[in-house]
Amino acid sequence: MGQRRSVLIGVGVPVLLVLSLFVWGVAQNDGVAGRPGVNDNFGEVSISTDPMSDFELTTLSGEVVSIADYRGKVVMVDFWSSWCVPCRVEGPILSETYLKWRDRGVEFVGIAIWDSEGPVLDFIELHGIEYVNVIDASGLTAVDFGVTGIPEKFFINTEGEIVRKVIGPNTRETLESILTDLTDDALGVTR
Amino acid sequence: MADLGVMALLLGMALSTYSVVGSVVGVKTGMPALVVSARRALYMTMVTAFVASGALIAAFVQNEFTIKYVAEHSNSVMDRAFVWVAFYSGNEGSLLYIVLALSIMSALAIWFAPRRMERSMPWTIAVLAVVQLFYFFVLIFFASPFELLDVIPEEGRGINPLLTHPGMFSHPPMLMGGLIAITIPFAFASGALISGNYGDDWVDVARVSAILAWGVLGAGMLIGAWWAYTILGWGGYWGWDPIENVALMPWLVLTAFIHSIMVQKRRGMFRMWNVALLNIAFVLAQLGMFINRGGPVVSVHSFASSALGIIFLSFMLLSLLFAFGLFLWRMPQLKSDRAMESFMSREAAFLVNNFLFLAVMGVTLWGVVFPLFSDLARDVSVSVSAPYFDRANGPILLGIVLMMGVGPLLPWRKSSARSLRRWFAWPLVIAVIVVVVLVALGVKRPIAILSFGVVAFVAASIMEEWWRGTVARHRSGDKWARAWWRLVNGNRPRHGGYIVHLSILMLGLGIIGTNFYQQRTDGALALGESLVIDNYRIEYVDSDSSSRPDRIAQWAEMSIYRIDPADYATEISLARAQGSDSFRLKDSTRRPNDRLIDQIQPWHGFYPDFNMASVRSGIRSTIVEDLYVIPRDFLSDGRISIAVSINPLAWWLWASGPFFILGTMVALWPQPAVERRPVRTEKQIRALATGDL
Amino acid sequence: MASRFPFIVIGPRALSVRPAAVLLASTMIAIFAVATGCIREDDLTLEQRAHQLYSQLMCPVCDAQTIDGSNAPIAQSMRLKVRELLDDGKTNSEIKEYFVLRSPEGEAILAAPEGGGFNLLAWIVPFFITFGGIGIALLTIRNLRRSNARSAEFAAAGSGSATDQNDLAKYLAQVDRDLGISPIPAAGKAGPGTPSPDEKADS
Repeated sequence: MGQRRSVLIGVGVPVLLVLSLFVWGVAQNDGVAGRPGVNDNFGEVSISTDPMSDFELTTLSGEVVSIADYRGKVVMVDFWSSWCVPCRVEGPILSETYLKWRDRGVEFVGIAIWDSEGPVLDFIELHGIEYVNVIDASGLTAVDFGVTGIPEKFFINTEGEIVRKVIGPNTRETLESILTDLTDDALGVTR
Repeated sequence: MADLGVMALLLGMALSTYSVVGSVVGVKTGMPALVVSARRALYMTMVTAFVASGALIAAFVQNEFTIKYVAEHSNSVMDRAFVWVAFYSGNEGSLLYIVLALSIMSALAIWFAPRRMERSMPWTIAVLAVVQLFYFFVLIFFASPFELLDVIPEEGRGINPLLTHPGMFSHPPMLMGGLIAITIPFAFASGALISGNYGDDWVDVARVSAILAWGVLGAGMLIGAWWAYTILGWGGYWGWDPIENVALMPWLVLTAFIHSIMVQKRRGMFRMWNVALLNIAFVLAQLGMFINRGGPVVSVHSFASSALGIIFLSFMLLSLLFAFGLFLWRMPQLKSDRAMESFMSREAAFLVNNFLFLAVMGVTLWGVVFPLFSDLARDVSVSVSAPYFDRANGPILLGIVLMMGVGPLLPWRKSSARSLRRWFAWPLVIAVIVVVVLVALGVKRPIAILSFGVVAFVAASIMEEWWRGTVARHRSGDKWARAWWRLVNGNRPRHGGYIVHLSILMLGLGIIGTNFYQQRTDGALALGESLVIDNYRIEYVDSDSSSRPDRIAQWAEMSIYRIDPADYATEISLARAQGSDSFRLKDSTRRPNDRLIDQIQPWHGFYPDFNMASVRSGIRSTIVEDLYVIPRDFLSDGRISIAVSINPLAWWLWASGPFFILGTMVALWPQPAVERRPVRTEKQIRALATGDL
Repeated sequence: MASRFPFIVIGPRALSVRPAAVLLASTMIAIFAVATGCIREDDLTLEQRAHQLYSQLMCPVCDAQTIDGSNAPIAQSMRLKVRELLDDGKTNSEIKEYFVLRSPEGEAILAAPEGGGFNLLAWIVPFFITFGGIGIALLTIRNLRRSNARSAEFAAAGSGSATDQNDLAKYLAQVDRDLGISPIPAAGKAGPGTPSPDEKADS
């Protein structure tokens, strides 16, 4: 009987542990199989980026921009692509929101990743986008920011720190609420 | 067709229920008629599985897109040959395939089972029927392949492009078939245990069915690796992905089993241990089914994923409780006839090798569950992928290969110092020579050299035995070839095993070569440009494309030149300075010693319906090394982006396949005439009982 | 290491327990030690190190694939970044840290768990499994060697009692009648495997 007990314990305990892991895992698993690299679910996430990340990129009109240039303003950096479906849906929203907010100390910077000049210019023209856009064809800046898909947005406060990060497409309302928060913070307004 | 299929499934479920109940009740109440009818019901189950599968295949052939499964996995322009692949390409169809395979194998197994197992057969049948019942149950209530669509589509979605490869005709069916085939030896062993038939009656039939399952599973994995190597375009063949691991684990345990069952057959030892191994293998096979169908782990093989996790987990739990409980219940009866006599005996070596196999299994399982464990224990996600398994399992696998040389050289029972010296001297000398030569040649990587030494040792040990046996027979008058053949024929399980061992050594060569000495580079070439790596120059000569309804295909024509590095000395030193192993040449003019050795056509297809790309790598294969060119992308500016690797000894990976199958077949080839067929006549029984064969 | 194994075994105290056990264990330890010692970074070209790193970083948007095997845009960008960081003279561990810091999934970007603490478990458990397994095997062999005396008794229990055999015969006969096959006598293969002609000549 001693042997029986030792088998029961020696085998049973590890097996039970592994099994309970699987049971727990199945309970957790919501059955999502894969992610194609285009973010089509909206969600604000905690920052996983160096809050002081910066870039130096050349705009389509030939100027060099970096976050440091915008010190004192609230900046939204948008990683997008002309071929990305959620980004196309978002195009007019971003364009209009920018026109509404640009006089209130807000600046937008679009970074088109994995993209080329032709389609980007078409996109800008189509949606009447007036904010600065740069092309990061290799996606290296995106990697620096910890971007994994498009669209993804980073919000930078007047001190030049990255404070919020949103993945997936925004609606007018979600965008405005974040911008309101950040500009309020900059003005010292408390709610 | 859908109605026919559903009816067949329902009937199949009813019949397997009857089989279970009939067998158990029949045996308990002593009603042989009931037992016999339960057995016949199991035969009939096979017929229903055939009808259901036939209905699904017919629906595919006739493009019945009213059936959801058909609409999602085929279309009318698809090559008809792929109907067979489409049949099991999705979750529901593959479950139906599993039922079909299991019911055929069960029917064959009980038909051919030796008569002397009659007493345990009702229980064996009950176990088989329970497993079939489970799959019918899932097919009917959770994953019916005959579900109808409300809106009938004009055209089906088509088959997953990655599956349109010759390997797919055999890889998935063999893998699934092999996994489910483990049920057969398990059912024989369980039947014997439940009925109290503690003798070794079940050993032969379990051994044969286990080797079959093992061979099919092993060959299936090998074909899968070959498919991955040629089509997935990532340059590898085994990724230690969870789905791959759960197929490997039962295979490892079966490998242990088919070794240690020989000890029981020959020496009447390890009874308890063999039952335990079969139980573990069966539970692991169920774990495989569970992970495959919605297990809580991330896998690259997600096309068969489903939300059936809980159901399969429950069945795995059930199998575990049954197997473990049965084992504990009957443990006291499973004792060895004989004691171990020496550490230096084949049975001892087999036991050590068994534990090494279990160790690889355990480490692999640990790697599979570790991310879950980390999630649960500290809410941090981690990944456990190839680099982990290579490091954690590599040394144990090398130990197993070493035991592969040691074990067969040791005699049963015990060995004398003289015999050890006699048998080990040559293999050791040869291993040392190989190591010394490799070091002298300036080959780097000590672990790889050590591994080559081990491979040489094992190969030499096999050759030594063949050599001595053949020489002995040759002296008694046979020609060389005939002498060898008679040697092999004299003990097929053993020499078949050696052939399989040789194939494992070939596999080992490939694994060592590609893991330790692979060279890789990548680059983008315009037409007329070349990429130079090692002593190859790859010139991008031409490209072409075609547009079909289902895909946009592009392929490149590339010429491979063997070069003399001296011709390229300046470029090479320049590249070295930048830390590169390769460089691009804008001007592809031939230099004096360039020699055209091959043409390859790497192919790249994009399937808009699936938003999926599929590639065929350009491979120039020799027994020394493969030059492997993956077309990553055809860029819009006309350049092609390629990843190139030189995979030393990769050829041996695939060469091992035929030897693996050959060896398995030799080992399985029925030995004496009496064992070949079920014993049916009185005379044969008497002959067997008196040992007068 | 492997080469020392037989010479000691063949020595005067040939076939005693301990040398075999000790040597097997030390061979395994040696293999582990060499394996973990592995390859030093400075032996490799930057390109070789780049490919090494590719296979140690997971593609964040793929299922269980490293950036090495993936064609996803982010995987391509990450490969470029690895190369860029290598050109800047960063070490492998600095580069991995760079990605861990930026990954939304944290250390899940690494293909194998690294560092101390909890992750050490991932690496320690295989040692226990392996050496535990070998230990159990060796212990079992030792115990089996000692159980010589008991073996006769179990041999008797192995093939069932006489009454069992009788019941079986009756039952089988009944089954055969039902199947329409001529009755056969009960066949319990007597005893375990017979010694085979195949055993080594000198054993």
